[in-house]
Amino acid sequence: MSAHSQILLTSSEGTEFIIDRDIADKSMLLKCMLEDIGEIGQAVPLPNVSGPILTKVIEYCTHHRDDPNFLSANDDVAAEIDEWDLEYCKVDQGTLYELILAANYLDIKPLMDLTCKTVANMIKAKSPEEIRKTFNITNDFTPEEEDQVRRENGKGSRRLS
Amino acid sequence: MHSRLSPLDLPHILDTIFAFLDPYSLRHNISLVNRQWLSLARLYLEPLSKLNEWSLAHLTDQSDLQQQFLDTLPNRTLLKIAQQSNSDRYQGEGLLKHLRTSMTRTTIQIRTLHLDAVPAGEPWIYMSLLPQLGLFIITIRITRALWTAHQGNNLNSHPLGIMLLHCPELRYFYISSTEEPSSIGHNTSTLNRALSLNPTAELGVLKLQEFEIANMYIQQTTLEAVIARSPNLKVLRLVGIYGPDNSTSTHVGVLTLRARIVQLIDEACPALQVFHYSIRWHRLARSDWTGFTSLTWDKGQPSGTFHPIHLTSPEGVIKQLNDMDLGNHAGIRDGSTLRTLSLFSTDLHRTIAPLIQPIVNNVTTLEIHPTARPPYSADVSLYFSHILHGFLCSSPLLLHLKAPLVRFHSAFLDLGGEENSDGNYQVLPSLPYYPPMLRWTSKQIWACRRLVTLQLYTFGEDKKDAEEDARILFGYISRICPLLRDLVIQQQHLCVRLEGGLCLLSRLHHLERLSIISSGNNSGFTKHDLVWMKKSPPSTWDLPRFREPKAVYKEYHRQLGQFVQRSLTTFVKVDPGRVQAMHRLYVKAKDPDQQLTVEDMDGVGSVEDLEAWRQFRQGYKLEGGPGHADGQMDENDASPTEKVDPSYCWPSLKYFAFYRYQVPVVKRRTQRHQEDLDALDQALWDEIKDIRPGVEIKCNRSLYYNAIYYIGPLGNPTHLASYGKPYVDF
Repeated sequence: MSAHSQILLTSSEGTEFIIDRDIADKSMLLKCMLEDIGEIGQAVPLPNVSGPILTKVIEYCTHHRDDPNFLSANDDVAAEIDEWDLEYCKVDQGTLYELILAANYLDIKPLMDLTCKTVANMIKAKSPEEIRKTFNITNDFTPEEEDQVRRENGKGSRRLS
Repeated sequence: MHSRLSPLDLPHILDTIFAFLDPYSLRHNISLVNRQWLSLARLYLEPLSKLNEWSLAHLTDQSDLQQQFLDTLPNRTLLKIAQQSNSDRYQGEGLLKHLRTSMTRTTIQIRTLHLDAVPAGEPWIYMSLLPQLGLFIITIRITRALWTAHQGNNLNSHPLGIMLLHCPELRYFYISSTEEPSSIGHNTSTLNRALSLNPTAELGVLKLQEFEIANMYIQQTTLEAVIARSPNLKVLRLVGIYGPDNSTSTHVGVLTLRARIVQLIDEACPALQVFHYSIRWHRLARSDWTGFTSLTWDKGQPSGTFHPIHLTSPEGVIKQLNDMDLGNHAGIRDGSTLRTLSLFSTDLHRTIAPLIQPIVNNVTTLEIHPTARPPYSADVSLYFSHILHGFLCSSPLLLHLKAPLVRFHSAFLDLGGEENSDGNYQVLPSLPYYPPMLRWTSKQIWACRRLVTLQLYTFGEDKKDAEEDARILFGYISRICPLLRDLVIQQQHLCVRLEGGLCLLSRLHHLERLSIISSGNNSGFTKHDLVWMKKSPPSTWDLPRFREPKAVYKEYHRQLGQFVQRSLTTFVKVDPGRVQAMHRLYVKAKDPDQQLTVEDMDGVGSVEDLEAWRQFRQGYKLEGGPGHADGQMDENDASPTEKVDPSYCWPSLKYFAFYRYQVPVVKRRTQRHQEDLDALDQALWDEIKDIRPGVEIKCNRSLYYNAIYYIGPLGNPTHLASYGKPYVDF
């Protein structure tokens, strides 16, 4: 296998992307697929990933192509997001969701961790109601259930006075 | 548009997200969102028996589990004990009886002990379990530790000492309290004197290699006693350590004698490789050092981005730094474009400042953390402001300034005063009681014209006009830093009415994040004061409560006997020529490559400045004239690199945090109960959401908690226990 061989990917709209094999290998899905079936010279269809999102994913993998700790970089939960990744994740919520789904589908763990950590940062310091608003989540608790959870958590609402 | 699957519908993705959240968020926020989130959060909050991890509640409730626990213990090397309730102590003691029986038959070699939310005074663990298991333990990890506030300074009677005595092979010792500040310095039980060690059983030399203690209350002498006995220590991390204040035993503050610890580790710990000291975990704390007495160094080969540094005195360290090639400075992270320097406010000392000035001049990120027990006196803050102002006036490369919790005197931004014959400018002419060295400075302006991040905690003198004070602050920032993207301003009594000139910040076309945090009761405002924030206001936009300057207001009050509200289309007393000048100065200031002079800051904070802004927002076009020969360019003109529609206010704004403690949006309060504050938060949130739909708005009190963390309603940081999370990541 040539170190510089290239792979053709097709996004959900049919847009074609040519990327280097080492970049494709960042995705466990593509890596396993290419190892299993070999490079057949045909486009690999990615029906679950749109063109703009695939562009973003490729941008991420390209930036980290020489990162020796690519697969272990985000094992440390407390580790901070580096500057480039921080900038990379400054996208609207819809794009962030698409990136998570793409990372999940393509099985790119560092990207998955990065995007999930970004969502976690959005959640931090938000009240349950704010979280529901932000992520458009329906509250399916009955008032009694909610009270029960609060009681179990052992903390009532704090008072300033 | 077809509906897409949300990643939050997929449990394994939610699971990944929750893995990055702290227990506090999981317990108090996540678990209350909906049923699915609750069930997933519980997996993190109540870890059941994962091989070696045992919860006492589960053990004691289920006898078969208990038997399994005892049967498998000899094969285990890790034991985690999580306290579920106060009654566990009795159940724990019962379990210990079985354990003792079990140990008569076989050897138990627990190597790692993890205690989670177990009080320090829990006798069955500290006096029964540890003596039996401690011989083989090499790692102790204590999370959500609950210690009594005043354990005394005798290591022998301290839980630390008890654990160290019973675990002679201990190498790795990590202790952190819960993230909930209510447990800092508080506990449900006190340590029984009977648990104190026998005085004859003195601790000898310890084998500790790593010692990390975070968010705990501890006497400095106790800490020093551990360090002094640990010659093999390689890693020492002290994060968010609190102890009694020097001056009074009732106040809690950060350790004030950190220099003594530095000296101690230099003498007692020859193998130390990493020493970290910080107020609390911070963005850079894990990989960068913070402060001159907190260095990471390697006595062998330089590793990573750090040079070997020998800890001596701060001045000595700085000299070493000074002698090095800036590209590989210890303490300055050497990335391709990033150079970061993190300091404590106490490092901004007049004897040190000249030494670090060359470093500051070359960094792109400067972070300053508070150290001394807050609140600072005005003198200390002014002293700090003096030096920081000097730094900023000579750091053209600076991109990020983060000092959100260290007070900076806004008087340094006021250029309205006169210079004396020596060319010096008196910063605070009305306050002669300040030392002269603090009152006088050279009249100069910030050089950091490409600043992208500015997080500043400003304060002014109450004697000044609050509106003018605010106009100066906002006017100065909007003129000096045209590229700002992230702005955090915190100030007590900050005037956010239209007259206070918050609107001047709308000239920052690149702004993405804006946080305005203030407390105080002299600056009520209404929605009309904020309506200019609309992304694209209508052309016939009116300013219903655009009041006149204070003097004119008083005149009206005198003449008419009462204040008459009216809509103004202009300020009645502004000088049209001055307004023109304001326009020109802003046009010049928009170009970050232009070196501004003090003269270019003329009119900052003036009413004409505000009028110029108003005219601009209503479609005003600057006429051609001297210095503007082509007659084409005006404030509407974007710099060559920016593509903005000038009629938009903050076209890139994504996040807006706005917190005012007293906001007459809904009703005036006589009692500040939780319900009122919630209603105010909600009302303010609704108002701003209405003005700027699509922007993430934050109006809750977590921002305010952060604000008062270091000032405190009674000037006492122990009150942090009464409030929410003490730290908000800006």
